[in-house]
Amino acid sequence: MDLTPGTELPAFVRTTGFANWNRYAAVNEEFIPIHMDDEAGKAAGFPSAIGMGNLAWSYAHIMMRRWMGPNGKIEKLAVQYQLPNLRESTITVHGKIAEVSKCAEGSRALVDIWVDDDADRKLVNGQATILIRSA
Amino acid sequence: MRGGLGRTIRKRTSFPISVSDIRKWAIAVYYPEEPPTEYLGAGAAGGDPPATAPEEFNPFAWATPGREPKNPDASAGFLERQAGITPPDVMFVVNGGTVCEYGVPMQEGDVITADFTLKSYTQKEGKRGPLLITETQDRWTNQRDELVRNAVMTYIRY
Repeated sequence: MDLTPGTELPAFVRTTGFANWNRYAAVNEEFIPIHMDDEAGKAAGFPSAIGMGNLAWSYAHIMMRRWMGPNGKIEKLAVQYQLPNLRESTITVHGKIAEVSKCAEGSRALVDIWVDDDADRKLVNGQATILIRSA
Repeated sequence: MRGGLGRTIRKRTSFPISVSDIRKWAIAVYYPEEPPTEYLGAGAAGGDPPATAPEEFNPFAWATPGREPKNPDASAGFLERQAGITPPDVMFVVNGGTVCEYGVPMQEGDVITADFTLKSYTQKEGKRGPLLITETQDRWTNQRDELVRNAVMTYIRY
């Protein structure tokens, strides 16, 4: 695994809409009108229904799990939701290694995390701390 | 409202996490792809190794012991209503951010307890008028009193 600072993690891409959001609402008990109804989204000031921040949170975890494999552990994730995930937009979760330090268990990486959409809007910005245990 | 800050205002305990809960969560969040096979096995109940949940799994959805079945509160005042506090005069709520530290993973059979605290209120002016920024803290432990996760969430309400 390349832990060089500046290395980009494989991106995670999803085209999002009610098919994703309804499934997530069903498992997270998150039936909020702005996630289910364009009119409710418009009433709240958005152009459409919007996706759950919590689902983007899951997508960030998936991106990290795929990269780090079974020897990795997500120790911390901090994100700010900056813009809403609009219906039928394609969003991409990115990760880039910012810093790496050695520790007793292996290596600890700070990874910059961000989510953007196909209109080049940054939706989410954050940073993760990931422990990579020595094999 | 500020009287509710800093104290545990809601304590929840989950049912034991089932392999079916984990499987359904993984199917939903990986959609439209198939989730990894580690989330699709039979689990300990079916003779496989115990299933481990994805870090972000929610063991409290839909039902917890002693909770009366009712429609979820989708109003913008849901935080205070859970705590029995008069809610603020707000119409909408969006997720502003999360800071989460993870401890031990959640596994099939685990029973998770959450201490939910209202942490802070801040008022700001936004494009849509006054915003009420509310921070909550949700600390989860398992049946062995091991820390599972400690999350601070920010809600933006207007």
